[in-house]
Amino acid sequence: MSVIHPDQYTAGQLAGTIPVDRPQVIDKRAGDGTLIDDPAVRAPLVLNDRSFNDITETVCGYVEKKPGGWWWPVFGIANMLAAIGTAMIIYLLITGVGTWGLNNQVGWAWDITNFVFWIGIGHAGTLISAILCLLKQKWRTSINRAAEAMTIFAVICAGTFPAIHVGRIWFIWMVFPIPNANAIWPNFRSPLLWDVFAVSTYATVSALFWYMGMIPDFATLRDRAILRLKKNATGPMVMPFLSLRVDEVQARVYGLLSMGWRFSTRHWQNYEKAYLMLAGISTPLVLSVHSIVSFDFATSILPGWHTTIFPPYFVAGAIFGGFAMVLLLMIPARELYANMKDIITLRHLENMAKILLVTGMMVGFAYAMEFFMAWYSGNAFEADVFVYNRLLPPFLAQVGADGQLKYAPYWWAYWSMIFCNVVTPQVFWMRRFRTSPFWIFVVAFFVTIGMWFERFVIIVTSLHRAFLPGEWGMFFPTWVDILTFAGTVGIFLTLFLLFLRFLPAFAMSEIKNVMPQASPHKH
Amino acid sequence: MSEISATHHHGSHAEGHSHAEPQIAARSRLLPSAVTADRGTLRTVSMGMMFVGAIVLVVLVILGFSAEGAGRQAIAAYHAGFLFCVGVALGCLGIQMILHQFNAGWSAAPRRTAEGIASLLPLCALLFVPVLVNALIGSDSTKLFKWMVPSYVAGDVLFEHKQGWLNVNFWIVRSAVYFGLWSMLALKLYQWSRKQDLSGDRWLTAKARRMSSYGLLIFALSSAFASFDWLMGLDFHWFSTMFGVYFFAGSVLSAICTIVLVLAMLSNAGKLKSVVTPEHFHDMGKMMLAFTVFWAYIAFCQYFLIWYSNIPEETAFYNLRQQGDWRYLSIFLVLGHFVVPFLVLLFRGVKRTPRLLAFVAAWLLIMHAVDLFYIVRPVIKESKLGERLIMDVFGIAGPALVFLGLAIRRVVSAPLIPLKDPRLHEALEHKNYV
Repeated sequence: MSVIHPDQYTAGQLAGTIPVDRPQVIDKRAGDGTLIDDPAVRAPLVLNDRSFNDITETVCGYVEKKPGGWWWPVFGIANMLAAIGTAMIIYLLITGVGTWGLNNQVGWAWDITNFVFWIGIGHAGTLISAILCLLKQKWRTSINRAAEAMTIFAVICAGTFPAIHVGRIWFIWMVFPIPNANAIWPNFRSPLLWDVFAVSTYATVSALFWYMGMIPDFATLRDRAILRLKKNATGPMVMPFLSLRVDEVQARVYGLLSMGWRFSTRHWQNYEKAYLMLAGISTPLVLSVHSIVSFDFATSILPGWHTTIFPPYFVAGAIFGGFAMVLLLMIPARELYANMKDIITLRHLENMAKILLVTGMMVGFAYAMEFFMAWYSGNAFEADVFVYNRLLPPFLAQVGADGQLKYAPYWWAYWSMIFCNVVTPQVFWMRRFRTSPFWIFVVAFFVTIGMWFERFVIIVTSLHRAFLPGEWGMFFPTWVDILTFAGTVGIFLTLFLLFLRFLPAFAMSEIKNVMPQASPHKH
Repeated sequence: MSEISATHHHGSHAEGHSHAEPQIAARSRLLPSAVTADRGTLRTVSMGMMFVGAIVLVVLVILGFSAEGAGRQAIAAYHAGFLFCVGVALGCLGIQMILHQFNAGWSAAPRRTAEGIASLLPLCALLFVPVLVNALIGSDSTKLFKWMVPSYVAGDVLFEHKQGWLNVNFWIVRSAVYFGLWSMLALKLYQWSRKQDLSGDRWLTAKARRMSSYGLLIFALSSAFASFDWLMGLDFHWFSTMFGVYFFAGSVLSAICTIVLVLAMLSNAGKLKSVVTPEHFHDMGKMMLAFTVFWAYIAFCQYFLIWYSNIPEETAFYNLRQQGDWRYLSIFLVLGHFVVPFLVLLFRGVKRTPRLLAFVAAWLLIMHAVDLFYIVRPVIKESKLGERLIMDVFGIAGPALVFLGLAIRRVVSAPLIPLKDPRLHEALEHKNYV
């Protein structure tokens, strides 16, 4: 029985269990009504004339009501993957990194590829919550919370790999500059150490940003649970034999998390100030993190790794991959959760599709610059890496000076990267594709694959044939490599599903701020 | 299109109503005396600047011919000045396209200045003529680009490798293509904006936005390759994939500074009252801060990666600039182009006070010129820093004065803001804190 509204149907709509009937949009070009091209009109950011209360009910409804039938099977699969990943990690720790396909020549492969892949995914969250906040892009409010959550989970997955790839994980404390009896210190001149600082700072600030943003929403959830307890003392129990009500647990847990938030003006004032400051801190931070990740490679003298455009190129690529992941998660979510389409409109998706196009072009620009300079520099090693390690497929093989056929054994990885990252986003020049959730999903999927391949191409193709042909060797992943990566996908999805289930998936106050009712000109 | 918005909203009537009022209220502020310049005084200023600039250039030419080996220094300094002008105009083109892509409502107020200055890009091609003349008919000892001197590159393996790219004909074709593309974009955007002043057709804004999308792609590639051709090519052995981004960062920063300077000058003359407000200056100040940091980020990464890897063919660029007195200029650039303006621009009061912000903008413009000087001038190895300093100063000041004079002239010859921009009311109502 619902307490939201006396009418069962309306209550269902408000709680987000029954979809709202949508008014017909006459002009097809406007999609759900938000795809307005007219520069004189600002597209609405929340659809269907929602009230403030509607937003509260909808967003809290996702947490308070049981999720749809899809949730358990999806969660089960994600969980299973996570379990496999955990098993692989345990197996690795027991057996050693020899279980991976690494060899003398390719000492870094899937481990660091996955690390850079995941850390890049995280960047979209900070971009949306910090940089778009500073740029006053109001549309960010509908996706910032989920994207921030995604950031945290991606950083968790990312952090796993450097930790486990050291082999003897019981020595991992040595990456931190902790005073010790042996006077052994990490190498402060190594970008790998700066990575430790950069990533841990990033994780801390992102978590703070995420958590701080949720405090008012936790307080809302707390107050609603208390209200339900007061009105109705016979709510559902946590477990049949435990005399503890769900509402009671919610009131206590959300109460603890909301840290005494009372919605007072003074609280809001401090909150806004802290938000702006964290946005200001996060903005250079997000640039620095992936720049330092790029230093891991670019400070070396290895052709294919050492090039000056790496830092901004990595940052652009990170945002590219991160936005693809946000879209991969939110497009299904807005289909599965009722009324989510009112908050994440087609306009939001179109904007993100445009960001995919822009950042895709940025990485394309970087590829082009690298290629041009590989030729322009006249550095034979650099050119060789691009042509014979990456570009040339076997069917275009050239006969080398020694009569052997020369081609790039990893050509398929390189061309997958080019196709996924540079070619597929080009469909977004066409309005039809960038306003269709299906096509955006397809492209985002390709981009995610492409960005993984990008890191693989950078790391493995550069390493597998360095200066001395005598050292050349190929890398092939083992089943442990593959399943560990699949496992982190499972960990990521598990955490994200738990987030959707138990935490406020949207920043309610921020959404209310961008609704027409919040405007001082609204009569 | 307003029918569309009416169909999706229950409260659409109230919406439409509330929309119209601020628009009307805003338009009432657009007094003709506030949004058009008194052509007299500012034109006199601009004529004066151009006149002084012309004299400076004449003196530069005389100095260039006065002594043995001075010619190459003169053209190098002039080249830095020319790139300063192109950078400002190009940055204005880039920034307005970025603002179009962002649908930035607040930008309607300051955008006209950017449009006006960017529309000078075809004239910048004229400023390129001396460099072109130097490339075509300069004697071997005065040629700015060493790779154009056959005796110098004879037997150079790297040059032979690059010959397909580094040959004078192709270089001229490329330069023409850059100017052609930029002029096309800048003039179209300017024309549409001016046309909108008369017709009030809001779809011209949509058109400008559409062109800005592929325009930015053209801009990114052409400005990167232009920087390779005109700056990086000065030392044709040296290369850096980052260089295009470095040029972009400096150019956009100098463009924003020029816009701030022009707008502050206009508001000092009593123009644009309550049209371009401290709110706009605040936002432009934030952009100055952002691009100061961005420039430093790019400059640092480029330096750092080359320093760390320590590969001789790459470190040559910085080695040259760390020898002799160039070392002090390098350090000065770090302080003057980044540390000092960064710290100053952090303060809200500076960003919201047009005069203070204009002062910082002028400083950063000078720093941008120093930055270009720092890239161009050390390749003239026959003359140390400080030698014939007057030529260096005149070489940069000459084209810069002519260009800024032209810029002021162009800005005051049109309404100072896009009068019928569909988002003008947003710009006029713009507040940083609500």
